[in-house]
Amino acid sequence: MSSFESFHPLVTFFFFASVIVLGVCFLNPLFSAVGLLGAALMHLRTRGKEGLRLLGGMAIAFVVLSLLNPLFNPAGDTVLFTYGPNRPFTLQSLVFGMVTAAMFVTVILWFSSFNAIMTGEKITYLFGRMAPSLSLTLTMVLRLVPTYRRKLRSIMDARAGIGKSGATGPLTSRVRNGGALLSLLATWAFESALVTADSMRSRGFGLAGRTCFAAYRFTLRDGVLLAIEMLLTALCAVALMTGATAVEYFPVISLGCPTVLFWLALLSYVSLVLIPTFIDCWEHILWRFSLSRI
Amino acid sequence: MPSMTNGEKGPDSIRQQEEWRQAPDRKRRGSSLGLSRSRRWAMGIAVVAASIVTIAVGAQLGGRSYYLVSVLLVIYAIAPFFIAFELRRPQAREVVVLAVMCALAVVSRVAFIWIPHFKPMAAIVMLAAIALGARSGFLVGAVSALASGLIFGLGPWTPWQMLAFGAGGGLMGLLADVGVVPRSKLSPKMLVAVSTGGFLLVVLLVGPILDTCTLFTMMGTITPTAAAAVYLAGLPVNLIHGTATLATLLLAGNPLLGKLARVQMKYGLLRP
Amino acid sequence: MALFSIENLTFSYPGAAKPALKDLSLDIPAGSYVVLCGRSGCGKTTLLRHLKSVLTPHGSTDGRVLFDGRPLGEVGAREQAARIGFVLQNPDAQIVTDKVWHELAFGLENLGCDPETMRLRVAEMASYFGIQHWFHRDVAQLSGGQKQLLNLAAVMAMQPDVLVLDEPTAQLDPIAASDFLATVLKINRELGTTVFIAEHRLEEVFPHADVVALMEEGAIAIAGSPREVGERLQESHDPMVAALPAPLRIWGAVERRLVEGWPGDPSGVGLSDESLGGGLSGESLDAASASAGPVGVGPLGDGRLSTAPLTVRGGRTWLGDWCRGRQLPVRAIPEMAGETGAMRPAAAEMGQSNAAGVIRPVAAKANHPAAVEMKEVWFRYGRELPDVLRGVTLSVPEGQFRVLLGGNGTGKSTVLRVLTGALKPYRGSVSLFGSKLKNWRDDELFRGCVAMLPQDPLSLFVTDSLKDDLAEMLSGAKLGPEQRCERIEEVAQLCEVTGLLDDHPFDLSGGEQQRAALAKVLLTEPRLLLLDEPTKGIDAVFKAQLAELLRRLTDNGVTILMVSHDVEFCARYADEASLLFDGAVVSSNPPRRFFSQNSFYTTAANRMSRGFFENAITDQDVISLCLQ
Repeated sequence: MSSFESFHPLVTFFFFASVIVLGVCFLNPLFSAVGLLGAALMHLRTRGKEGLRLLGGMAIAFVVLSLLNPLFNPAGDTVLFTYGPNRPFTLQSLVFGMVTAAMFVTVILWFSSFNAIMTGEKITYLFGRMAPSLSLTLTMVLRLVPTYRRKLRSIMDARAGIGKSGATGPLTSRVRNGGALLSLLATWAFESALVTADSMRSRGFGLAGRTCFAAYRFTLRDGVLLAIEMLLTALCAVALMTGATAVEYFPVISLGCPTVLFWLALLSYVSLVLIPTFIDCWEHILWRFSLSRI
Repeated sequence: MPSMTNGEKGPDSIRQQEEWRQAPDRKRRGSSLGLSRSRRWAMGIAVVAASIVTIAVGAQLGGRSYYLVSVLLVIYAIAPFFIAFELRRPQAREVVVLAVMCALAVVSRVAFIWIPHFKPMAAIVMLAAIALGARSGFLVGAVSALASGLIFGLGPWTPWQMLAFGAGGGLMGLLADVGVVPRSKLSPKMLVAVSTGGFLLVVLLVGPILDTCTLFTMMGTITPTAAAAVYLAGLPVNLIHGTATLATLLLAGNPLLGKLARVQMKYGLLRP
Repeated sequence: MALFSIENLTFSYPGAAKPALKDLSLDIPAGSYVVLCGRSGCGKTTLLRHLKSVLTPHGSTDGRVLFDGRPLGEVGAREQAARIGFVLQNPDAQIVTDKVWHELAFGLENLGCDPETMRLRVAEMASYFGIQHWFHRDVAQLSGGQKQLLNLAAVMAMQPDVLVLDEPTAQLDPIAASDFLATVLKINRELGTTVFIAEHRLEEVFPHADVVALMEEGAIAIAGSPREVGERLQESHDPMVAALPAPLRIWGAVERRLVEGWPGDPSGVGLSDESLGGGLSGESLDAASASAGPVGVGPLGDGRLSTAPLTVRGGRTWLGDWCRGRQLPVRAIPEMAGETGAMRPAAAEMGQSNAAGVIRPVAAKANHPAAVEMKEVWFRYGRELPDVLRGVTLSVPEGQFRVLLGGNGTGKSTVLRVLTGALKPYRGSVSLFGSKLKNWRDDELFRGCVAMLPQDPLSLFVTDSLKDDLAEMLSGAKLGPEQRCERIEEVAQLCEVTGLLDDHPFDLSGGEQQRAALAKVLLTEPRLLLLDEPTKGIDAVFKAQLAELLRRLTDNGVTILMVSHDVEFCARYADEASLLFDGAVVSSNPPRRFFSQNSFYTTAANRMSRGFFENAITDQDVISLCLQ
C-alpha cells in the first residue's frame, strides 16, 4: 500500500494518463529508458514479490520484440549480418526495435500499477459525474460478476452432487454441459434482475436531478500534487511538440544537439515518473520524524 | 425530508412512468441511436472533426504517434454510442438488462471452465444484440469488454476490445433490426445460419480488430509484411474463438433468447 | 390517524380467473407494528405491492389506497420514493451497486440529495446499524443476513415514514433472521417508523405486533391483537395454527381443550420455525406480565381463561401456574432407549396410534454395514486456509433419518460435499455402504448410491419444463422411451408433482420447487440421500408434506442425512440428531435425549417446559403431560 494511493482518484488518474501517453510518444532512447525504469519501479512497489513474474515475462517480450523489428524493417546503414536471400539485419533497426519494445513494456508495466491502484470503484466514481448511466451500469456489472460466478459455482456443485459434473467426459458433452449451465444461470439472472429493477425504482431511480455521493474529498494536497503533475507534463509536451527530443534513426542514428529545453524536459520526465516514489519516501521520513517526537 | 427542490412533478411523473411501463418508446424506435436527427448530425460531425484533428496532429508529431492516434480513433468510434446512451436517460429496467447481459457475457467463460481456450463472450454479446437491437448490442459488447478489463486488468488493448466486441454485437443486432433474424425462436435452419454468421463475424471482424491492436502496440515498424505476419499468426486463435462462438450460439442460442422473451412476457419487460 | 388506509381493494391479474385481492380493507395506524400473515400464495405480496405506485402490478383495480389521507396515485413519485420504504424478500437481488457505501447512498443520490447531507445521512445509518466496520467492503463478500441488513439501512437512509417488508427473513438462517427482526423492532420503537411486515416466522414478530392481519385467498380473514388472532385461529382449526408461536399453541391446546385436532393431524403441530432468541427483553416483559396477570387456572367451563402467552417466558409463567394448580402424576416422558423418533413414543404412550406413530424396526438392520462411516476426517479448502473439518467421525446406519445440526460455518455443508466425493479430505477415511469412497467409480456412485439435494433447489433445473428436467436425469440410462415415461410418472407421483410436469420450474412455489428438485434427485435411485437445509423458506404446511415424503423414503430403506438449522423440524421427525461444532461431531443422540440435554439449542416447547417436565421436546409432549 503506497501512500500515493491515498490521493484523490483524479490525481492518480492524471498521473497514469500522463505517464502512459508520454511513454508512447517519446522516441528518444534516453527518455524511453527513464520511462521503462520508472514503470518497473512503480510496478514492483505496487505488486511486491509477485510482480517479478510479470517483469520476467516482459524481459522476454522485450528481447523478442526488439529482434523482430529488423526482420520486418531492413532500413539503416550499419548491417550487422545478412540472412536469407540477401536481407540485411541492421543496427539502426535493432535499436529502433528496442525503443519500441521498451515502449510496449513500459505501457504494460504502468497498466499493472494502474490496475492495482485505480480500482473499479475509483474509475466509476471518476466518470460518475460525466456519464452517470454508464457509470451505474458498470457499477452493477462489477457487482453482478462475482455474484454470478458464485452462483455458477453453486450450480456446478449441485450438478456434481447428482453425478452431472462437467469435468470429465468427451469434449462434446463438456460443451453441452457448459451450455446447460449458462442457460440456467441466465434464467436465474433474469429473475433476480427484475427484483433489482424494482428495488431501484422503489428507491427513486429515474427521478430528475440525480446527484453523486462524494466518496473522495479533493483537499489541498491533492490540488498541489495535481498542479505539479500538470506542470511537468506540460514541459514534456512542449519539448515533444517542438522536436527538442526528436531522434533520427535512419539511415544512421543521430540524437541531435541537446538544448536547454531537452534537459528541462528530461528533468521533468524523471521527476514525473518518480512522483509516487518521492511521496512514499517523504511520508516515510515524516512518519519517522513524528514518531521520534512522541 | 430530503431536499425536494428540483423537479417535483407529482402525479404527472407517475403517470409518465406508467405510460413508459405500458407502451415502449414509440418516438425513439425509428432513430438509430435513439436520438433526434439534429443531435445525430452534431455527433457525427464532432466525431469526424475530432478524427481529422487527431490525424493531423499525429502526422505533425510523426514517428510512432500512430500508436496513440489509433487508440484515439477507436475511442471516437465508441464514444457516440455511450453519449447517446447518456442522453437517452435510460430507465431502471434498461440499465438492469444491459448490466445483466454484460455480466453474463463476462462470466460465461466460467461455465466452460473445463474446456481450454473456449471463449463464449462474443456469442453472448451477439445473442443480446439479436434480442435487444443494434445499439444495445454494441453497448453490451463494449461494456462487457470494459468490465472484463476492470476485473482482469485494463491494458492498451481495452479500447480495441471494446470496439471489436461492440462491432460484433452491433452488426448482429442490425441483422435483427432489419428483420433478417427473428428476435427469438430461431428455426433450426436460422439457428445454423446465425451461428455461422457469428463464426464469420468473429473470424473476419472481431478477431482482426484485436489483431490490429497487436500490430499497433507490439510492432516497431508497420510494413505490409509485418501486418501480414500478425494477421496470419492471429488466424488460428480467431478460428478457435469463432468455433467457440458457433458452438455457444448453437447450444445456448434458443434457450437464452427464449428466456429473454419469457421474462419480457411475464413482466412486461421492454426492449431498450 | 391511519398512515395507510386500504379501502375495499379488489385486484385481478390480467387473464386471471379469480381476483388476487377481494374487497380488502385494512388500516395501518401511524407508528404501529402490523404483521401480515397467511399461507404462501394467499396474496400477501400483491397487497404489499399496492402500497407503492412503482411496484404495483398490472391488472384491473377497484377500491383505493390512501396514504396520509391522500389517494396514493396523487402522491408524487419523489415523495413516495422517500416516505415509503420497501424491503423485498431476496437479500441478494435487491442490492444494486458493488460497494456497501454506494448502496447506502443510492437512494439519496436518486433523490438529488446534496453531498453534505448525503455524507451525514450515510454516516448516521452506518453507525445506527453497526455496519461501519464493513462500510468499504464489496457487497459480494457479505453474508445473507448482512445483505438484508444493508437493504434495510439503505431504505432507512431515505428516512421513510413507513417500512413495508415482504417476507424479509425467508432466505436467512434463524440467527440472522432474529437479528434482522430485532433491528426492525428497534426502528419501530426508537424512531416511531410505522412497520408493515409480511412474515412467516411468527414466533418472533407475534409478541411485538400491535395488529396481526391474517390473509386468506385475497381477503383479510382476521385482524386484531396477536392474542385475539391466535385464539380465533385455534378455534377455527386453520392450518395456519402450525405457524403460531409454540407457547400460544400449547396454551391453546391445553386451556381450551382444543385437542381433537392436535395429535393425529400430521399437518398440525410442531412445525413452526425455530426461535432461538425468544423475545426482546423490554417487549417480552409486557407479554410476561400480561400472561402472569389473571391466571384462571380453572378448567374450561367456569368461563375464566388465562391470558394467552406469546413468548417462551410467558409460557413458562403460565405452565408453572398450571402445574401448581394440580397434581400431575407423571412429570417425564421416558427416553425409551433403542427406539427412535421423538414424537412416536409419546404418541404411542398416549394411546393415539397414527401413521407417524408406527415404530419402525431400524435396529433390525444392525448387522448391515453402515450407510455412512466417516472416521477422523480432516479437510481444508486450501493449503493456506484453516481446517474446516477437524476430525469428523460419523456413522449412519442404513435406513436412518439422521440430521446434522450446527451453527453457520461449522462445516455442515462441507460434510455433505465430502460424502459426494466433490471434496477430498486430506486425512481420515470415508466409506459408503461398507466400501471406501475412493473405490467407487463415479458412474456407480451417482447411479443408485448417493445423491444430494442442494440448498437452492433451483440450482438443479436447467430446462424450461419440469418434465424435460426429469428426462435429463435419464439421458444416460439404458431405457426405452416407455420405461422412461414410467419412471418419471412414478417419481412424480411419489413427490406429488404430477400436475406440475409441464410447468416452468421457476414458476413453482418454494415448496413445489423443493419437491420437484427432490423428484429429480430421486431419479438416480439413491440409497443415501443428502439434503442441505431443505426446510429453508418453506411454510409450515409444506414442511409437513416434506416430512411425510421423507418418511416414505426411509420406510423404503433409503438412508437420509440432512443438514439443518430447523430445530423444531428435526425434533419432530428425525431418528437421530448430531451436533457439529468447530469441525467435529460433538454429540449424537435420538432427538429426545439430544434436545433435552441442550438448554439453548433446542425447541421452544423444551425451553418452555424445562424444570416442569423432563424430556418434553415437542408441543405434543407438553400438551400430553399437561392433560394426563
